[in-house]
Amino acid sequence: MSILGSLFSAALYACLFQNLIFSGGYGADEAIRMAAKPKQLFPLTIFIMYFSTLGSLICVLLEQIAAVRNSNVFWHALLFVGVLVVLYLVTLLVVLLFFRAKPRTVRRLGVAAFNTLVLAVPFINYRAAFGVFEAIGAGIGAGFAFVIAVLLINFGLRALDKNEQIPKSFKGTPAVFIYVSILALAFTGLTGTGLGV
Amino acid sequence: MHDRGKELLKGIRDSAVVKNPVLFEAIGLAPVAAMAVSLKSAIILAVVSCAELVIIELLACLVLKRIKSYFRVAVYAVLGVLINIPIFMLFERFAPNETQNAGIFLPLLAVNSLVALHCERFAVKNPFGKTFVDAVSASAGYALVVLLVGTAREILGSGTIYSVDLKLPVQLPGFLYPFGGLLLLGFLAAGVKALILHRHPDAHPEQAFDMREISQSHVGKLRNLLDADFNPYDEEETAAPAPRARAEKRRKTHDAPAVEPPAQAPEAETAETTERRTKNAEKKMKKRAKPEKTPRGKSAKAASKQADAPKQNASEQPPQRTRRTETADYLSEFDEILSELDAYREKYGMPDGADKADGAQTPASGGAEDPKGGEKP
Repeated sequence: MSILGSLFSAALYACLFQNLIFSGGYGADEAIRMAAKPKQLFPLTIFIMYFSTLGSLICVLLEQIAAVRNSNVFWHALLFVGVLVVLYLVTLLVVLLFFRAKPRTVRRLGVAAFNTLVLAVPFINYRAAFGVFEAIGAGIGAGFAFVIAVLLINFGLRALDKNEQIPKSFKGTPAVFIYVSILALAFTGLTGTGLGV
Repeated sequence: MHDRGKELLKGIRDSAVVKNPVLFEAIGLAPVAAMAVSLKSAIILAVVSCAELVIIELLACLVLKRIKSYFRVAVYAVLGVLINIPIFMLFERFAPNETQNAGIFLPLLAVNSLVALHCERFAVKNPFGKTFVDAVSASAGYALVVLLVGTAREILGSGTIYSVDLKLPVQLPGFLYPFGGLLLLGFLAAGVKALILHRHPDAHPEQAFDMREISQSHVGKLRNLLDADFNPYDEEETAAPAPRARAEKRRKTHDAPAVEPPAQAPEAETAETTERRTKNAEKKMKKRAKPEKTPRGKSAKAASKQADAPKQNASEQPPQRTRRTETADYLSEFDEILSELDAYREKYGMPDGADKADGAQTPASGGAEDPKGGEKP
């Protein structure tokens, strides 16, 4: 029960109470760019969730080694990127050799594996001293956070695209940034931190 | 010489301002929104990002373009972290507090989308000189935005500038959160866009962020969604072009004047590729020619009876959805056959004139509207 509890609470933390994209800013550019291409949402999310969960799990397991645990942030960065690279290459080989994936599918792998959201998860685990199940939860939560962010931004983009009253200089990315900032403000409210206004 | 100078200036203007990576392409937002909360941290961010972008883009242009793009993206990440570490160590020596405050964001710069997108979209497709100009101007554009946002957030959020107290009556610490950064970015982008539109009415900064597909549905069969075109790096697809691209290609072939020589196949489209395509097409034809398998548990006779039986029962007709799917399948097969025909034509060097003669029978407007018109097998 406690295993499920820690997994679930870490997932909720990553996708809702401390939404990694809105409250943390991780992977914000991927979310905004994918919100403009909603067809890519689920295929990309599957890969993001795969890399964040598996990467997070492997990194947490490596953290159990004393030498790794005691190393500084540079070595951690090198280790985490190394883990992601190995995971990416293995997945790439499997996808190419066994599933004969098309180039467009393979391109998704690259975008999903190497982004700030996926790399942030092992760092959050390291900072928060998460255990194995919490790390898995955080990985899954990161994937759900991405889905929530992309869907919310996409709904807004559709409305912004139809709105004729937006001034010319605000059309496009300026309006998108302001809309996303309002969403981020709402999610920051869920974190429970005061804004000191 | 004068023209070259103008071209250079236009390139710099495009990379740094009109297609500013952060403001108009929405690339590399995460570090700006989360990390650039003061001028000092903005300087660190700007230096690391610029060094990373320039070095990796030049390496991509000189060396990495020889390896496949699948592997290149992994190399960018490794190079990113290797470039980050010494700069990070340097800053830790001179500004330990700021480096500490930067938290996990500095290591995260290793996978900044700014690097991968610029390398894949520009560096691997252009010569060294152009790549250098693009790298420097995009870095300058990025750094300028980071510094502006960092300064504004420090003044508004902390009431200081470069840690010097400005003794402002009001402070808004909310600006130190990511939403504050995004809000400032929005207004900065609007301001820069207004300036661009005022000075260069022919420039279209909004085109840097493609919003043409936002009304597409995100729901559908996973297989179809996985098959949907995805090309963030504007690469040329060598294996099998998307149906729409093929239709475009055919339309272009139709519209081209008869005297024009046939378009050169891209480098990757070698004789080997064409041969493989031909073999695939033959295999498919053979598959299609084979009779359907007998359903399990039924004799061959019963199965043939079932096949011969006229479709009397309206109730036995497949539902609307299935029929639609079948039609879609036939259309995609037809499209594939057409592409195979293209491959045959390329292989055996069939003159375009034959195609043109066929196309000439159809009205000009019809030819443009229905690209498949003149190529029926």
